[in-house]
Amino acid sequence: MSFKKVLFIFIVAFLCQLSLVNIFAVKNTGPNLILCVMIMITFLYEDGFRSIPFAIFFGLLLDICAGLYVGVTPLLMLGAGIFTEVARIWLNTEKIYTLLTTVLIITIMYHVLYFVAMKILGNPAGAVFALKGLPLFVIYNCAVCAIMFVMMHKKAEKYHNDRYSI
Amino acid sequence: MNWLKEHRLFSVIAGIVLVLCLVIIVSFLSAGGSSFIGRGTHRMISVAEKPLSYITSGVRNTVAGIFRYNSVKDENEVLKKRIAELEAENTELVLKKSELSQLRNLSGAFDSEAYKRNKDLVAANIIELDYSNPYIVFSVDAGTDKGVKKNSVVVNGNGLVGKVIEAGNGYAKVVSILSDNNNVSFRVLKRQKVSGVLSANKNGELEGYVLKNKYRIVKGDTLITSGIGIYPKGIKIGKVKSVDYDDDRQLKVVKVKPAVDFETMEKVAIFK
Repeated sequence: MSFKKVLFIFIVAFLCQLSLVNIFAVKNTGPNLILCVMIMITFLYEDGFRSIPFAIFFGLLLDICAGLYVGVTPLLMLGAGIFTEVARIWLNTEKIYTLLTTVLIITIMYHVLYFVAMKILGNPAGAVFALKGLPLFVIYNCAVCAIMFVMMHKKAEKYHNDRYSI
Repeated sequence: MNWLKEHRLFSVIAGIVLVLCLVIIVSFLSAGGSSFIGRGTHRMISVAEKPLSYITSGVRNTVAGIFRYNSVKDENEVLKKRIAELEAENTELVLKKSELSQLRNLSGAFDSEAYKRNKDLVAANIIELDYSNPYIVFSVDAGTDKGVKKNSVVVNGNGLVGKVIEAGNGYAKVVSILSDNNNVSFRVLKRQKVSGVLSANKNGELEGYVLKNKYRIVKGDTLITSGIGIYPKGIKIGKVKSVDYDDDRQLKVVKVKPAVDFETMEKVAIFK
């Protein structure tokens, strides 16, 4: 995927994240579009790991605009990006269930580590409060990634029809 | 150096992690604030986000309006009846001098200087709110250009919202009382002698204790800010949900339902 295209997708995702996505938010919980876009591009494209720096950058912007402390989101984006790249190497990227499993694991890890980071930084919120939105967060992220998978996976597989040809 | 060149990928990742850890430490030390680069970036983003936030707000209100038409209609009828009752009640109170003086005493709860001088209040719209994390932190479209500064107090029509943790030209970042580490000093609206301290607990609720156990505090009591600390006196905080006696600390512990509905909040006012 070209640099310009990736940049464009991230800009759109970032702008929507802080405003338009809130239309669909339930109980103060909504999807994380930056995380979803990063997972999808890294998972589906061989050179997709190039989206990780974008995710770090836009994660930083997310923290600057609406984060309790700056720097936590990009750090978690980096971790999530590395995990996705490893998953891409080991898993079958053509199947949606492998993608959804990856999204599920990454979303849970992201949310839990975010809470841990906030706890270390002195936020009084406990695990029950921080994690009560987790199921909805997982559902939202999986739904967004599933929609993006349907839209992107055929374009992503360069030689989709001649996989077994010589 | 050779080792770093040989392990380029590892070196890059370690470098990024190191830089981000430093950013977190600096942000933590400045209580959630960012550097001048961060403030400049936030300013630019705020300009871009403003029209989108208006669209979001419009769509939300329209959709909510469609689904809430019947309930709004019913609510309107109930409110009409309530206004009639209150008007009758008010006339009675005006006639009774003693009760009137009591009401005057009660209105003392709202004698905050900030409330009296309306010019000290700045109205603002929420323009950036990230629902992908559970902590309620958002940005508004009023900043240092309108006199908003760090630790300015944020309220809405219902009560206390939180405080400003960072302000720049055209924007301010606000942390709600439910996500803040700091305490809020309170008094009971009807019995001003009863005072105490509230803070966010581990369940994301407001919890606190009463300073003197001999004073009565019951479920349903309305709490207001006492004026101690950064919050001006007389801002409604919420209603007491429960009162329990903590044997270990020998204190009356209260749980409070915030007056503000953080889910539907779109506009706020900021004390300069």
